[in-house]
Amino acid sequence: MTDATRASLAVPGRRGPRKARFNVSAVVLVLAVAVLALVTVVPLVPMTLRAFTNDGSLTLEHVSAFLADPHLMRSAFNTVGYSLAIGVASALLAMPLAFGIARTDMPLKKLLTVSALISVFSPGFLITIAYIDLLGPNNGSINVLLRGLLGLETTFGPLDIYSGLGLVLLTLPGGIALCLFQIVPALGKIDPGLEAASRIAGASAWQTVRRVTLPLVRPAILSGFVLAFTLSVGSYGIPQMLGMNVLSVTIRETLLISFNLALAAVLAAVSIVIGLVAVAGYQYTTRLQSRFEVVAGRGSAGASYTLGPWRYVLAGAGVVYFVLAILLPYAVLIVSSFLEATSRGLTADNLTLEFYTNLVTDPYYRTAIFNSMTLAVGTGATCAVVGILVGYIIARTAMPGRSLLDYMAFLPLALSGTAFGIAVLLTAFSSPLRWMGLSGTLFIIGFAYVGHYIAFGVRGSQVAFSQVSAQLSEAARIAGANRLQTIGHIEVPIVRNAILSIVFLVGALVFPELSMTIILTGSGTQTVSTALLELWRGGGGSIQAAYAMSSLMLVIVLALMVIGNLIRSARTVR
Amino acid sequence: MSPRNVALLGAIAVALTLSAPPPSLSQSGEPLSVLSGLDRENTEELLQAYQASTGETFEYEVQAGPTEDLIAHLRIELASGSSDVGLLIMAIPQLQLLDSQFDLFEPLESVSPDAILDTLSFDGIAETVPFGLAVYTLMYNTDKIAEGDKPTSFADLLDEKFDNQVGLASPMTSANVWNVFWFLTEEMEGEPYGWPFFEALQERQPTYTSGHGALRDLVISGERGIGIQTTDNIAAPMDRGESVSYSFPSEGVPTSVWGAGVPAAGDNAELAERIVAWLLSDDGQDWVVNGANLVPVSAGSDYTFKEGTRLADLELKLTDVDYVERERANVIRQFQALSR
Repeated sequence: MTDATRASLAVPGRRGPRKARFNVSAVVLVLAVAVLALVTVVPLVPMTLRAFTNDGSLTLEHVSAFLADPHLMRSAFNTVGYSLAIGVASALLAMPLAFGIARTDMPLKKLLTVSALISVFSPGFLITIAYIDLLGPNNGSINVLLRGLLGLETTFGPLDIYSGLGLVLLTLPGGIALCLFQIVPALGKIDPGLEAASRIAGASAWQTVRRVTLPLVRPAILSGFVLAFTLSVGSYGIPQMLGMNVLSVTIRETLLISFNLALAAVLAAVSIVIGLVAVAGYQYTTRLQSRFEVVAGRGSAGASYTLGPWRYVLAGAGVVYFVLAILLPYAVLIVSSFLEATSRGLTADNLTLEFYTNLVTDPYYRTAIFNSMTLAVGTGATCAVVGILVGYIIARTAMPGRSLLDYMAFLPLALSGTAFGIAVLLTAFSSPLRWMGLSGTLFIIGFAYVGHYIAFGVRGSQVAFSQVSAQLSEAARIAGANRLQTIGHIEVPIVRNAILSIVFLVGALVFPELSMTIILTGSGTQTVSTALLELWRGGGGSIQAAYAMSSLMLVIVLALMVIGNLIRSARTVR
Repeated sequence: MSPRNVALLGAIAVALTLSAPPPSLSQSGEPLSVLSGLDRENTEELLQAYQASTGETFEYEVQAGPTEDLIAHLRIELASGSSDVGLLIMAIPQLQLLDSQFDLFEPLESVSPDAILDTLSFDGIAETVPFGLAVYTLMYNTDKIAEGDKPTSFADLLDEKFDNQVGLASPMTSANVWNVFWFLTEEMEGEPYGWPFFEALQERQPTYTSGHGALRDLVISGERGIGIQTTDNIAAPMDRGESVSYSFPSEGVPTSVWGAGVPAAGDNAELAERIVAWLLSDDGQDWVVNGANLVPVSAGSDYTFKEGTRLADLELKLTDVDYVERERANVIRQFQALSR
C-alpha cells in the first residue's frame, strides 16, 4: 500500500453527515496514544531532566562524570556486548524451534511451548541460585560429577557459572522464549499459496523455507531480537546475582547506595539510547512493509512440512531447551523445598513440609498470589489493547510521526526496573498526581508494569499487522465500517493468536518482576516476587521457603494451563 | 477465544486492577505504619509481642523489605512531604542519615540511655534508639573447612589455602557490609589492613554477593567455604541443622546496630515511642533475641552466642556514621578499582 493510499484512509473522502458526527474511532486511537505517552514518556521526563540539569540550568557535567569513569563506561560496553549476544543467539536458536512448532511434524511441540512460557515467568534470582548449586565452580553438583568422571585433580571448575558464559546460559532461555512468542504466530499466518508457488516453480522444501518462508517472517525474527536485546539491557536479577558489571546493576548502586540521582539518570539515558538504536535498526530493516504481507484476501491454513528423521533433531533441541531451562533448575528447587537443611542432603530424616505449610496457612502469601494474578492479567490485557490500537496507527494510518510511537513504547524497556520504578514513584509524588495517593497501590504497580512492557503489545501487534494486507480493512471501510469496526471485525480476528500471545507473554513477564515492584509496593500490595524475597532474605529467611513458593507457583501455572486446554478441547468437541 | 472474550477478559482485568485496596495515604491517622528492614514476619511478631506484653491493642501496617529500597521510597515520600510513616526500624547509620537530611525524628524522652550497653550509649535524649546488634563473624561450612583450619581473624582470610573460598557482600549492593569496610580500612592500622587488605584478598578470588542472604546460601551449599556474615543470618540455619558454624575475628568485631526512630510528622507518635521504649525492656529484649535473632543491647544482659562465646568477651566495633556519609563515593570508587 502506498502512502497516498494510507493518506486517503487517514482522511476519509466522505462528505456530508458523517463528517459532522462525533468520530469515536479517532477519539479511541488518540486515547491509546495518550495512554502510551502517559505510561512511557511522562515518568521518564523528570529523571531525564536530572541528567542534563544542575539547579535548574543545563549542564553536561553529569555526562562528563559518566564518560570519565572507567567502571561505568565498562558497564555500558559490557551491557551492549551481553545484550547483543543474547539477542543474536536467541533469534538464531529460536528460528528453527519456532519453525518446528508452527510448520512441521516435530514431536514434543507442547513441551517446548510450555517450557518457554515457564522460563519467562520463572524468577531470575531463584533460577540463578539453583544453577549455582549445579554449576558453582567449587561445589556445583555438575562440576563435582565432571571432576569425578574426567579424573580432574582440581577443586575448581571445570565449569563456572560466575562468568560471561554463565550469564548468557541463564538469560538465553528467556530470550529464546521471547523470540518464539514472536515468530510462532507469524509462521502460522503465512499464506500457503506463496510456498506452494515456490514448490511448483521447482524449489525444494529447504529452498522454499529459506527463500520464501523465513524472509516473510523477518519482521517477527527481528522483533524477537529487538525485544530480547532490549530486555537484556534492563535485566537485573541474574547479572546482580552473578556479580556482573552491567548498567542495570550500576544504576541500582548509583540510585540506592550512592544516592546520585543525576548520575543514575545519565546511566538510564544511556540504557534507553542503547535500546532505541536496536529499534531504529528494526525500523530500517523492515521499512518496506508490503514485502512482508502474507495474509491477503484469501483464506490461509498453515502447511505442515514432513521432516523425516530431522524431526527428531528438532525435538532433541527442544528437549535440551527443556532440560537446561526447566528440568535442571526446577529439580533443585523442588527437591530442596522439601529439605529441612539443604547441606544434609536428601535423607528421610531431613524431609519436611514445613515450608509449604507456612505458605498455605499465612494469608500474606495468598494475597501475594492474588495480587500477582490480578496484575499479570490486567497488565497483559492492557498492553494487548493499547498495543493493538497503537500498532494499528503505526501500520494502518498516515498519522504524522507515527513511527515515533514505536520508539516511545521502547523507552522504558531498556531501563532497569529499579530506575523505572523510581521514575514512576517520582511521578506519583509530583503535583498534581500527589493528591491521588497512588503510592503503594496495585494501580501504581500496574501502571509501571504497563509502561515497562507496553513495547511487547506495540511490537507484537505491528508484526501481526505487517503480515496482513491492508486491502482487507480497506474493503471493510469501503463497505461502510468505521475504524473501530474494522479493527474489531477484520483486523483483530486475523491477528487473534498474536493478541493472545501478547497477553500470555506480558502476563508471564510481569509475574516474577521484582526490582520495580519492591520500590513501588506498599502494605497489602505484596506480589509473588516480593513475597519470595521476604521468604528468602533476612535472618528468618531460607532458600527452601522461597523454593517452596516458586514450586507452588509452577504447580498453579501448570494447573491453569491444563484447565485452559480442557476448556478449549471441550469447545472443539462441541 | 473470540475477540469478544478477549475484550471481556481485558475489562475484568482492568476492573480488578482498579479495585485495588485504597492507598495508604488516605488512611492517615489510622493504623500504625511501620517501615522495617527486618523480615515482615519478625516485625509483625514484634508488634504482636508488644500488644501481648502491654495489653494495648491497635492496628498496624508493615512495609518490610531491603533497607536500600525502603529508603529510596521513603526519600521520595519525604521530599514530597507525603510520608505518614509512624515507626522506622533499620540499621542506625541509615536512620541517622535520614535524620540528617530530613530532620526526621522526634526526640524520644521516655528512652533512657542507662538501659543499654555503654558502647552504644548516648548523651541526653535520643532520636534513634539502638535495640539489637548484628555481629559480624567468620561463618564457615563445617563440611568444607575442618575445625583446625577455620579462620579466626580477618588476616587469616588472606592465606592461600582459602583461594576461591571467601565470600562477602558487595558494598555496591549492601549497606550493612559497610561496617566491615569501615573497620578494615579505617579503624585497623598497619599491615595487612587498610585498602591493601582488600587488594590482597582480591588475590584469593573472593565472591562478592548481592547481600547477606545470598552469602548465607553460598556458604550453606559449600560453594564458598567461608563468609563474612552477621550472626542474625546464621542462627536459623544452625537451628535447622545446616553444616555451618562461625568464629569471631580476633581483630575486633564489626557490629551493625539495629535501631528505631519515630518520625515527628508520623501518625501515632506516642504509640510508636512506647513501642521503642518497650524494645529495651526485658520482654522487648527477649523478642530481640528470639524473634529477630539479634544480640540484645540491654546493659544487664549476659548474652552467650550459640557457639559459646559471651557477648561481654567481644570487642564490638561500631561504625563511624560520619564515615559512611563522608567516604561513600571514595569507598565505591576504591571497590570498583579492585574488582576491575
